[in-house]
Amino acid sequence: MPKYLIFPRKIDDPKIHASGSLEATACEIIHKNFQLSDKAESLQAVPESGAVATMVRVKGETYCSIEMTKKKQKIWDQVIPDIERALDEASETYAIVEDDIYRSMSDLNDSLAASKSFSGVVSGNNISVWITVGGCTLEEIDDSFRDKINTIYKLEKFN
Amino acid sequence: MTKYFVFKNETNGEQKNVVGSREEIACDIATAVGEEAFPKGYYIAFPQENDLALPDSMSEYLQFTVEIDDEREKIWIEEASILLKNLKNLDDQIREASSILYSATLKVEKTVSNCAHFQDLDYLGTKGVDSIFENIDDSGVSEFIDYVYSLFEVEAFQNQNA
Repeated sequence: MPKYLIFPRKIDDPKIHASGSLEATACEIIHKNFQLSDKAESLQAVPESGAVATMVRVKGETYCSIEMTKKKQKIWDQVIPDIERALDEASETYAIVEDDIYRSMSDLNDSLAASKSFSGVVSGNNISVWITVGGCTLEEIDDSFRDKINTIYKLEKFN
Repeated sequence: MTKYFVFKNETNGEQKNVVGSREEIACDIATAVGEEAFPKGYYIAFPQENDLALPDSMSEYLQFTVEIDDEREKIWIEEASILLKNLKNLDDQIREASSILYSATLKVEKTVSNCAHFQDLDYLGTKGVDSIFENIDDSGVSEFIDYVYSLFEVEAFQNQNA
């Protein structure tokens, strides 16, 4: 299976990968899956077996490697966006719900702090626990999804 | 200190407690400890006069007795009613959150299971949502109610006629 080495593109390098090329998709996958802050265009991909790859290796610039074929590119383009979208939507829903509950908890805590008669009567600890674990369900799916992407594309991180 | 007798109001709205009165507070307390979402005006309260016992003909309709004096009236108005509102609000949100998060997670699960190459993902998903909410009893409203019971010396009666 053809592998590509991914490394940082030099700031003054004017060449970027053609949109829709295997190299461009490879950079996009690395950018998304490792949640890099720069744009995908700040990365560059070269076939692992070429002369450029040897230079990159010698310089120790390799960020990671990825296995990429037309078939795998199709999975990235056609299958993965649906899951990404579903995860993003769920993540927004979780954030809204957690925000609402935080606000209500804050109101409750304010009224408890202002109350002399009910001081220490209501604990509300289990809600705090929920707030901590609430997002874990989605994170778990997301982690599992990212792990699967790592497996499909045989991602290997070096630096 | 005055004891208030609280009954289910079956006067079809002909008789009501005066807004802001201690009778109304007694009814609010009865509604709070009863934990049912009864509307305002569901109960009606009367003060005990001259420490007289409730006539037998009335006692079989009695739902609650509540003790209210100046200090307790102030506590209800300035602290307990606000706390109750905030506790119920939080409880409502938690209940709502359970179904919203379940639906959102289920949608992700369905999308994942419909995608070739990703059907074998390992996660708890909706089961995880269920287990989170199983571990939450409530916002603390039951502790609050227990305390209201003792603070206002509430007595609840189970009358078949009530």
